[in-house]
Amino acid sequence: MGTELWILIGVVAVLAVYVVYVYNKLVSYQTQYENGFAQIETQLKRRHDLIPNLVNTAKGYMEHEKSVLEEVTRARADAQKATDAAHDQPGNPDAMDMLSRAESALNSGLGKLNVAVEAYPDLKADANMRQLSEELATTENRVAYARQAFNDLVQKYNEYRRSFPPVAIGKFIGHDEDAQLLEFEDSEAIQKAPEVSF
Amino acid sequence: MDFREQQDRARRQTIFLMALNALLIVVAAAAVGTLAWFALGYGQQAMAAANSGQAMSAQGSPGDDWIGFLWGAGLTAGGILLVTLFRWFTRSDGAKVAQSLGGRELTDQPSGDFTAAERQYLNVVDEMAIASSLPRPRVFVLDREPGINAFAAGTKPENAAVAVTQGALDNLSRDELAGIVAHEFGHIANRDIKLSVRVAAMVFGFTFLFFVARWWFHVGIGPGRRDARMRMAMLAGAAAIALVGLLTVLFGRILQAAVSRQREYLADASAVQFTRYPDGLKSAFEKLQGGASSQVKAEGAAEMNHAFLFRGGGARLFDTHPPLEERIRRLERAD
Repeated sequence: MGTELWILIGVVAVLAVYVVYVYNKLVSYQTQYENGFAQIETQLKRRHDLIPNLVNTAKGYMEHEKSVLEEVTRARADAQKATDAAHDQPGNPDAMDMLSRAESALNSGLGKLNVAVEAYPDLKADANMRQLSEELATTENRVAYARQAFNDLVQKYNEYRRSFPPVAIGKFIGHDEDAQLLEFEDSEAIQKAPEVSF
Repeated sequence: MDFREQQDRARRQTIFLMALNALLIVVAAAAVGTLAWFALGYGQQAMAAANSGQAMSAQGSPGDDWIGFLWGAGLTAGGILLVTLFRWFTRSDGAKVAQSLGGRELTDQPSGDFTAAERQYLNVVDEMAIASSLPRPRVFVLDREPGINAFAAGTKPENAAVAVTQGALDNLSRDELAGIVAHEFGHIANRDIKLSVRVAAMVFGFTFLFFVARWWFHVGIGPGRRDARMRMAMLAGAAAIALVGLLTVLFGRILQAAVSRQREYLADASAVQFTRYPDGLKSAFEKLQGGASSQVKAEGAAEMNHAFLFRGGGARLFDTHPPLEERIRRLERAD
């Protein structure tokens, strides 16, 4: 009788230690992807900060494309709002979805602006514009790389969460849902170096 | 074969080569052990010949011979490992290496003073730091080098430095520059600088055999009452140990170069992992293939050859870098 009780206590203790281990690992992976999101956020903010500067520089040269500039300005405001919303719950499907749509709209706005700039050789040659375009190019890349790193971390979390036995335990310790990957609509275009070359 | 499989392959090859290196220590130890076994047997025979009455008993004790082998092999292996340890923990600070090759640091300057090319280079480094999740290393330019080259230095990511030549800044496009910077980040991420220190330490360990050979040689010709046959045996033993030492150092160097080549492939694959854009690095390689120079003229660059992006030259077996054609071929399949 005594021996059986001790065996039972031993098994329960081992199980408890294992559950704590799984929990800690899940929390660690979650923290990692949350940090990954913080990195994306930094880069998105960097991009949002560049845009007024870009719009102002372009305004001085452009005559007919006011609507493009307005579209970019509007898309920037939306993207800023979406970034703030996602800040509070990275990995949440709705927040990620909104962010990815707002950023895609901003990308397409910037794409149109780039096409428009092609018609103004003076603007292309402007020293300020050249520096801005390098800054914009690097920021696009940083966003893309930060997103890539974030998605890798989310994938690591999801894969571990879905593996057995964590998948059986996750339900009871608050890790029963996959985190959401962040995809931008035209992510193909940002994957390669953006053609903002002047 | 995508870049992850290529990375796995390069890592497996590295482990295999390191195991061969360990085997080399065992072989060297066994060789010296066998020599000691011969020497002991010979000494006993000589002694037995001197007092001829006990000839039979001295010759017929295999247990003693076995102990001679163990002592010789054990002492040799221990000695090699001890000498290896001397260099094993060598630390190197990336910034100091870069400065010693004439590098000018960009990361300690105020941000207003850069040329457009330097600003782009700094931006590319920042991008790769994000892509690889590593801290940003200190960033250098080798001003006086018109050839296209780059290197990473520093045994830990925290003290790493990245440098490119002025020629690379002048002649490469943004994508190509990003490719070679990503390759250098690959070396940092894979801890290649530390590995190369350790492999060099293993090769250095074999020089212990030269100490032993010298010692035997001195004992052989030194003062003391010994008969001529004993002296000859000592000298022959010294020569044999020196030969074993020479061969192990030679094989060690071949293995060292082979490890280095695998780490180049690994860094190429890691560059693809970070940029997801193999064409940048590939196009930089093609520029080199098309006749652009990768020469680095700074003093001390020759002994840093293994650290650079492109090789300086040398025979195939001892080459620290794989041929460009093969590197390009693998990049084409790395998507």
